[in-house]
Amino acid sequence: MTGRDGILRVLPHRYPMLLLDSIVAFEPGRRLVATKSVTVAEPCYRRVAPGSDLAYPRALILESFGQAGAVLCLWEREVSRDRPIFAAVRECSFEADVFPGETMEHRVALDRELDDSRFLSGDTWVGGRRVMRVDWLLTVVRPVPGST
Amino acid sequence: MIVPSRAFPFATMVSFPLRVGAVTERTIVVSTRLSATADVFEGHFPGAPIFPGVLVLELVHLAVWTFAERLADTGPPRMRRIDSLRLTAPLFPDDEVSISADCDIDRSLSRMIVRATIHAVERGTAAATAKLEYGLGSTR
Repeated sequence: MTGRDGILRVLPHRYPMLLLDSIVAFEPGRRLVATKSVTVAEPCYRRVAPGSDLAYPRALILESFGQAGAVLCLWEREVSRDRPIFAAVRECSFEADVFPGETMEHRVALDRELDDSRFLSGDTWVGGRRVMRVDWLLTVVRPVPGST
Repeated sequence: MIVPSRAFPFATMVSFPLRVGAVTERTIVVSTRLSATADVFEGHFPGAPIFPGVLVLELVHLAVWTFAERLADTGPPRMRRIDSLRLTAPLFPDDEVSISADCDIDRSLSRMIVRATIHAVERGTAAATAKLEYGLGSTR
């Protein structure tokens, strides 16, 4: 299962802010595993000079993880009507860097739903090393203005 | 002082020139305008541009890096933990934003605790608050 069509159907994000490539495992309403490969051709590397630090920005690791969570939250919804809003995160640790040529694997769990709020947790791996752990992430599902 | 994005020796999605305001022993204030022509607005979201909330972390990181650059006795700062990040109001194309960061350095632990607030200047609203832990080792 790659889920590329599903990613494009569910997420309103597009280049250069669509930071998810494929879905490799999915239990609707419970958990999802998705990947994102990092390449040096991405816009975040546009201005770096030779010799610069090429670590993928940690904010983008978290954004990519959040998009995996949004797919999990919104899979059965219609993107033209509902939109995921990243609202808060707590206890997120970065444990290693990610570099161009590497593929991140986000393992996201949906812990709780309350009205329009979705509480997520999980971690991100590159090969056998964990690069990020997220204990608590809040995504709010909001209707797209004018869609109702 | 304006710090163009090319001055930063690392990857970043944020390409807005920063204006550095007040800097003290442990605080820094920077501001920038979120240019409507920036790449990020093309994909977030097509036809309904909103500044990606998580990218306020990139704005804070640029402020923290600018703050730490003046310090002679620490390595470059590397974000290693988000204790909390709350996004309280959206930011839109051409918003003027102000980033205020309190940077509490603990040299014995080679770390810095950063408490940051991001404001949408013209609306006078707080867009985000964050408490972050940075490492100050020999690698960024």
